[in-house]
Amino acid sequence: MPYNPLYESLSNQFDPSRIETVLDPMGYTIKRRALPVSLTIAGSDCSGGAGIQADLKTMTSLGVYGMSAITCLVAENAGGVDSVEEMSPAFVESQIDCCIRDIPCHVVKTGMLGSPEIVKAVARSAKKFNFSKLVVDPVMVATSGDSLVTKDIVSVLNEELLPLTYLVTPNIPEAIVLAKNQGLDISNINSVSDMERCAAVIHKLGPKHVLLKGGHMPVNNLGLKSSDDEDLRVVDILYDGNRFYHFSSSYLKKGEVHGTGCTLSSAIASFLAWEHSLTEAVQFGIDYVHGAITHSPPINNCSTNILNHMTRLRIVPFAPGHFIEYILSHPQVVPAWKEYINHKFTNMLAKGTLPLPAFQDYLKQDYLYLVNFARAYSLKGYKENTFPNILEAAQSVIHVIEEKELHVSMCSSYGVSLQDLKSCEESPACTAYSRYILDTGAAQDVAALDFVQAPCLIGYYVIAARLMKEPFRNPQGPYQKWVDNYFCEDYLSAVRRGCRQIEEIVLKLSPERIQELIEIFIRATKFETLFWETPYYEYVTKQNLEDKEFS
Amino acid sequence: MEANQSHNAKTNHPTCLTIAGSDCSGAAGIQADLKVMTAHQVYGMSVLTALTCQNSHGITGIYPLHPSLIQRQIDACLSDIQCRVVKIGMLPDPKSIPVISQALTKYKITDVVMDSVIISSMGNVMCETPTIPATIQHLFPHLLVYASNVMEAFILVEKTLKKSPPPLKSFPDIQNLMSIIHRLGPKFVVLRGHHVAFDKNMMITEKPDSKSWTADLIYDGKEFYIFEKPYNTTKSIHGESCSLTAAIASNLACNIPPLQAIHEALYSIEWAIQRVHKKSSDPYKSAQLFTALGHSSKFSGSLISLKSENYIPQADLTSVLLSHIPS
Repeated sequence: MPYNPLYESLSNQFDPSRIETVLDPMGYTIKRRALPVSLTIAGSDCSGGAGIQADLKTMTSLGVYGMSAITCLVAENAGGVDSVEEMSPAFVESQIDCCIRDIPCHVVKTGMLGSPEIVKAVARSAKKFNFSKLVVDPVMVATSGDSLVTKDIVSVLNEELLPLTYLVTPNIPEAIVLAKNQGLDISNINSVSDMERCAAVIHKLGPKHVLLKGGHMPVNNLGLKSSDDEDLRVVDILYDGNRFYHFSSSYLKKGEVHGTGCTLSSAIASFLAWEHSLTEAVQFGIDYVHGAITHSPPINNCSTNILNHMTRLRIVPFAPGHFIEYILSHPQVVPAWKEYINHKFTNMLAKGTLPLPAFQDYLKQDYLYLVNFARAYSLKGYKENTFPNILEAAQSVIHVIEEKELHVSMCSSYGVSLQDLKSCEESPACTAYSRYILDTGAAQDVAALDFVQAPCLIGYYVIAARLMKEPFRNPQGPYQKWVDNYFCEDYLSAVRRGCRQIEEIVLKLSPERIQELIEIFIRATKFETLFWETPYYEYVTKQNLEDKEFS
Repeated sequence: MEANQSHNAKTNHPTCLTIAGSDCSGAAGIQADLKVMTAHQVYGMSVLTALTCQNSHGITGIYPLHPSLIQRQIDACLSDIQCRVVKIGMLPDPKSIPVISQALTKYKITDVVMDSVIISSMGNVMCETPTIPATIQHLFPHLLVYASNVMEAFILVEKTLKKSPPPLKSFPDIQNLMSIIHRLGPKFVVLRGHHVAFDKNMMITEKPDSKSWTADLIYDGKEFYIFEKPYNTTKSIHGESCSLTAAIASNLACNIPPLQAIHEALYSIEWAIQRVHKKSSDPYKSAQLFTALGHSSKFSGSLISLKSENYIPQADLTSVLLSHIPS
């Protein structure tokens, strides 16, 4: 699948309903849901910056379901290793079995393995379950710290695990140790071309691909080892047995950063789990680690820098499908919404004490408003790009026109003729509000149109529903028909449709854009209040006809 | 400005420590906790109390770690990175409990969230009998939040009172259960309704139908808050209770007030579960729970107090809209 890290987070592309036919680890053809999965076999770093902890954070951030088999417990923080407790090889193997038998997995990453026996156990599992994309990060720490045991681990790693490895990811010091263990000499590495030679030597040990990391040796523009302060680069070299690929990035003077090695290998494993090619996976993995280093989070008392594994996560403050709840309870929205929903005009309307001229004036202005509301939906149809969406906007226009017919009929029953409606002049409130809607829609996008129309659409239902429950409502009052008009299944279905559209659209927006749209919603809500306030002031306040109950 | 969205150097990045077991399949234990914390952009650290071999079908082995090793892990984490929020999960060995209690005091941990792990979602007993009284004695005084399901809460109270509490028949019985737990120390008690179904009269029914409902409850010592949802007969998802407490702890680490932190966590977990149930079957359910969590993260909604005169069960869009009519 196409992927560009500059534009999208992988997790947003994940489609859990996708079905694919694959060979399972035992060679049978199966159909399964395509969920990217990866297993890490490594030590536990309780401080969270390395080991399976860093691996799981990386995989989670990249939308991959991570499983883990723990090889040893390291009481380590960024300042150093305090103690190491080793697992038994049988237990390591048992953990691997437990994971693979539940969720088949071909992409496996190894980190600190702790002892020669554990390396052998991992090799057995690799053969048994066919780890076709085994990524080995050759962490060199032995449980006892004894160089003799380290040598044993490296021997078994070279002889039993590397021949099964898809990608091994040593840094330069680790590569030297690996090669020396097999009697191969890699020395005097002072340039990028020396690194190529080194990678070729490691390839002879059996892995299909070698990624030699250059973090320990920044180079200048000529590809030579340098300690100058300017324009230093880090070059990582991938070798597939035939050709070399160079991955160059700026050298970050961040001091020591805890956990970059295991984070890179688990990032590469994650992208392999997404079925990227190896060169893509390496490039994306390096980009990911680069971002994690650059955005190292500030934490007091921490003795070295730590990685920020979470640079690609974007948190929106609502769950998908629950945006309406969010916006109606938003602290910036509540005051305006409250004023709108509880306006005295509507209270007097329900009670029946609203002077008829006030209601008549409202009806006239509402008719003129509806014309512009239909224009807004027409504008939305113009802005939409697909037939279904254009059709939906057209249906909304028809719905407004039908509402207009009902409106004219209602006006007639209150002594307002069609001629009165046509000859009426728009009030400043109506002009301001309707033009705000059209201006917002013209200047911005479909989302802005949805948001600017939402207070009217949703609010009328909420007001009608509230009035239906108010004890002061007079069911026999002269204006009950208006309340009934907005508290009915037909209108509610229009509200549902509008809410659904908003719920769908906000999933594609950034938090910043959502905040802008919330401000539009607030502004439109205030215009709705002004729409009530104008006839209320003219025919109630100025005429001293206010209802004591609502003053 | 949310703390986790600010890179101002004066603001500490939110951090959280989990003390729990290891679930190698990645759906529970510290693995689930770290994924949830990562999804909330919280820097997660973990102390292992036990290693388990488990997946969505069951647990084949539990290996408790020695208390001294737990001590060293805690010291390694908290002596290096500042942290005031700790989540506690599986504690299979009662001897580790005093160690943890002393560490909470030593490092001045203010916000402790505990997930009751007595019985796993698949019915396995996860801890020794002496663990419960030791937990109540040493850890409950530290707790800001205690979260469990109804069945575990009943067992906890049963073992504490040393006599069986009355059988649960109605909604008020569950409230009473929460009151008892609150008196044991936690400032907030969270009870997930889970497999308890209520009818329209708020009685617990053994024969749920399409009108049955359930709810998660929060109790702060003064007031009960309800997070209502339709009842469904689906099985538990492996790891959902770990994820809930990890989400609560993550929200607390982001300086969200406790009641809101709990509510947001309940909402995000519930949404993730609903999404998973609609789209997958075993064994991918627990796996997809965490993928879904990455999308949901946070919700700012209003809690409905049971004292509200407008409270009506059976939420839908109209209830949502009407519940937001400001008074």
